[in-house]
Amino acid sequence: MALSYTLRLACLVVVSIGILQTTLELILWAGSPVLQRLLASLPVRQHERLLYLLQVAPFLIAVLLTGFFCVPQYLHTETNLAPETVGWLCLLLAAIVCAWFGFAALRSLRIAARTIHFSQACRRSGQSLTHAHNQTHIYTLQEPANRVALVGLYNPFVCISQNLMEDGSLSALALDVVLDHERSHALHRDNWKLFSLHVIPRLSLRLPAGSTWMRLWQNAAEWAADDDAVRGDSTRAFLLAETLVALTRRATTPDPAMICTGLVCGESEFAVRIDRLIQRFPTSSPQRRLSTILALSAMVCGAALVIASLSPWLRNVSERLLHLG
Amino acid sequence: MADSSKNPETQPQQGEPSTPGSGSKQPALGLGRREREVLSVLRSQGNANVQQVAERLSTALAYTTVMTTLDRLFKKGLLQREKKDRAFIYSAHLTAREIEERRASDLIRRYFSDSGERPDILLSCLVDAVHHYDTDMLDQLESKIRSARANYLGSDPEPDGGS
Repeated sequence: MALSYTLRLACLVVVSIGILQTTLELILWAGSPVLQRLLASLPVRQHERLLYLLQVAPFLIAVLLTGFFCVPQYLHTETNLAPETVGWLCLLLAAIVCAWFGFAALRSLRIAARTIHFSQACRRSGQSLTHAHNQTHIYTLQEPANRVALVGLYNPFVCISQNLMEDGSLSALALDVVLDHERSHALHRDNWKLFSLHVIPRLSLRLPAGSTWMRLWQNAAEWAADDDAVRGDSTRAFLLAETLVALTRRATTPDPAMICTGLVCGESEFAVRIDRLIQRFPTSSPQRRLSTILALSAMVCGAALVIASLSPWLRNVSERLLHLG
Repeated sequence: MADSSKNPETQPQQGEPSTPGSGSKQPALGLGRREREVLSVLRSQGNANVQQVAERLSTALAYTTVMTTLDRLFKKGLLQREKKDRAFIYSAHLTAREIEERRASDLIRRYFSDSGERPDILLSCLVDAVHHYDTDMLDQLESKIRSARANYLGSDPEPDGGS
């Protein structure tokens, strides 16, 4: 099929981003056992941030490489401004990538709209408990599921079931720990991070260890919020562990009704979370942290070397891509 | 006039205002454009029968259509009605603010506990309500926490624990 100069450029951009992102995600998937081991030795907040970065990096790198390498090269080398035939495989890839990105865009729009709608409903229906010193608003809600949750994207707020406040299931200290946990999510913009992970088109491959990068990040985000809530105090850690078990008993519903950053996807993960709280936070040693940082730096350097070694082939990459098939 | 409900629960005595059975589960409060207009007419009018409501609507609708709409709003708990001379006189049961609050509560209840929908809302829940947890496992975790706390405090585990 013959495409105009502009359409050829658009086709090249789409295919280039799609191929680069898929390749990078596959590389991360293959290296996930090593990466997971390395990341596990880092403090949990760094662990969480790196896991998030690992998920957004393939798309960002693909966009940057396309924008700063592929497109300028095409603009520089392509002299034919008349319509030109493009390979069928290139067109097919462009269609697939467009559908993939379009689906992600629609899904993120739906999530944003529903989240905003739900946040407004909570604000309308809930009773505000906020006082001047707290930046995160708190609303109590009349709902049967006995939840504590951070809701919303802009100015997220904490929702607590009225039942939990009234029936004495949460002591004052337990409530303080629970609210600190949710405030930590708000402070570190975990809902925004989760949203961005839905906005960015990703392959969401299941890792060899059985989980996904998303799930690992959710676990780390929850652990990091636990650590922030506990503040290194064992009494708070035990209290949080007890509260989690007590609330889990009451909050069980038969089927997921929402996307949660709540990590407890299964019993084993929940048990690990509780163990972590009652074992007084095993921390990583500085030596292990240094070796992890060195290993990760070596990986980045290695990737740069691989790209550099491919540069002769990359000179004609735009033409090659357009005439695939 | 065919303006009478077949449902005996919602069939009031002559001259006695009725609302849908209290204590029963109210239907969801999703309102259509026509329902909103009918509510607005009744709020401005105070109370009216089917004919009077039909006359004040922006578009001409069949008598039975207006009657069905009023009946639906009544069943949603948004209107109350009183039987006078074989016809129902309707009036708004809730203010606009109360309706909004009820709609919001319905939405929250549905999103938090309805298993049928997957509405994709960004929430950061303290605990996940996604799965049924084995109560034995939760019991074991509780006793584990108690013994860990006891070890930490250097004393025997408390018999009942809890937060």
